[in-house]
Amino acid sequence: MPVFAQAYAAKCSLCHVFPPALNTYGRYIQRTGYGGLDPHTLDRSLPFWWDQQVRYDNNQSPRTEVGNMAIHAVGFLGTDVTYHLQQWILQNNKAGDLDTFWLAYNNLFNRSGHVFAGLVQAPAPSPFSQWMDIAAFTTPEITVGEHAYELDANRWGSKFNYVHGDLDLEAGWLYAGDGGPSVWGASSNFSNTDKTFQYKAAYANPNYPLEAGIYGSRGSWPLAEGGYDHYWSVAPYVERDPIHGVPGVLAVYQRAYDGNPGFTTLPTGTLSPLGPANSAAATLELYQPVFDEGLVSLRKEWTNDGLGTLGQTGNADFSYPIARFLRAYVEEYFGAHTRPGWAYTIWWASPFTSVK
Amino acid sequence: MRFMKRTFQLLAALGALAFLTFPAKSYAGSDVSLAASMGKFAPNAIELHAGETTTLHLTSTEGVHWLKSDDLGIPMTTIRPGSIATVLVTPKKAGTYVLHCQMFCGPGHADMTITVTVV
Repeated sequence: MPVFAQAYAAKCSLCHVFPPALNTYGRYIQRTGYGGLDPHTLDRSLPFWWDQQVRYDNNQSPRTEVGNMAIHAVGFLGTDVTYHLQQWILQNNKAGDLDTFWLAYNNLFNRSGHVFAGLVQAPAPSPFSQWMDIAAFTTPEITVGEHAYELDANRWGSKFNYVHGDLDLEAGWLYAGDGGPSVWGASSNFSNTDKTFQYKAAYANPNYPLEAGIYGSRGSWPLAEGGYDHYWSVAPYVERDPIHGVPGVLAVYQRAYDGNPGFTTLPTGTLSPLGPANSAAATLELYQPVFDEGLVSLRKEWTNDGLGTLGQTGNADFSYPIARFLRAYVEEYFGAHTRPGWAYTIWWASPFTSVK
Repeated sequence: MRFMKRTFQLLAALGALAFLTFPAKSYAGSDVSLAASMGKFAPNAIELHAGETTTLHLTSTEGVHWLKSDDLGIPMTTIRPGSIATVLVTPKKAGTYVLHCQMFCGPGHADMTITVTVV
């Protein structure tokens, strides 16, 4: 967060491998709901910042988007409560949605327990919310039948994080998703929407670059034809920051089960249930700092939706700071059944004022 | 109201002048300035004298750090950028003390030490 860096008189590298990807210390600050920061030091800065992105993708229409602007508010209310608000003013050249909005109480179990409520980040590996490439991850977004698992989305609900020493335990009770007005409308009626218990348990010490753990979910989804679809997922992962010339790595292997993925049409014209589907997906990402403050990253992903569709995607990215608060990202990407493409993003992220 | 404000400002200015002109004599011994940044203190080694009071002036050029030593009688002190924390230290026993930053301050935290030699 630019205002954190400003108040701490710190470089982005205090918390980031390269913004927005977090290093081990940044992940610690993230999972403690910013409660690991010093509220008196944060008073040096206004808690507001804004960002603007210009995006280009040769496979999109229109190819260039300039309408991506958000305002953010982050910080403390007193010494025990933290908050984070991100509101898109413009998003994909349209009026923007609420992205993040949570409050956290951080003084449980001698400040090791953190309770979040609101539109929260689901318990999952940090790169799913703070990734290093232009392309988002596909592994936690497997679509089976009538719905997509949203294991990496910001969702309405609450979660509890216990962060102590090497241990990171997280459990969240989540509703619906964050995907815009239609989902927001659905989420206002919690009896008719996706409900998920999602968890994460990890070895994660802020002093060491290695993090390893498991995350997963159990949930239910209301079917259009009536009744409920029950699903679960489980995924071990390992993440290691790049240090001493050895590239960073993120490896995830995810299995998921969907009890009622949908229907197929028989030759007679009648609908027949497909039966349960067992899906799988994997992500392997390598990333390495170059040219002092640049980052090169390579990602490969495999998916199997459990219904006979196999997929592969990949991308290569390079990012570099152009100036203070201004960064550029370039990406070449490919998919199994899509035209290879390339994209770039210019990202401006800045506090509103200088330090007090 | 304006008169009271002016009077207060005048008294504050006189107080500041008195403070600068007549520094407190209780600050016996020497002064040592320390600057903390990511993963290090500068200087990272200092020498104190047993039984003699030294004033530590602690600031940070990057990040927030904590310093504490039960052996040297240094209470938990938060070291912040933009401010100077002052701590009086009167070591009782000669020896070498290695003090670690007491909070997860960022990359390099595990190696962030200062060696205090008491003679």
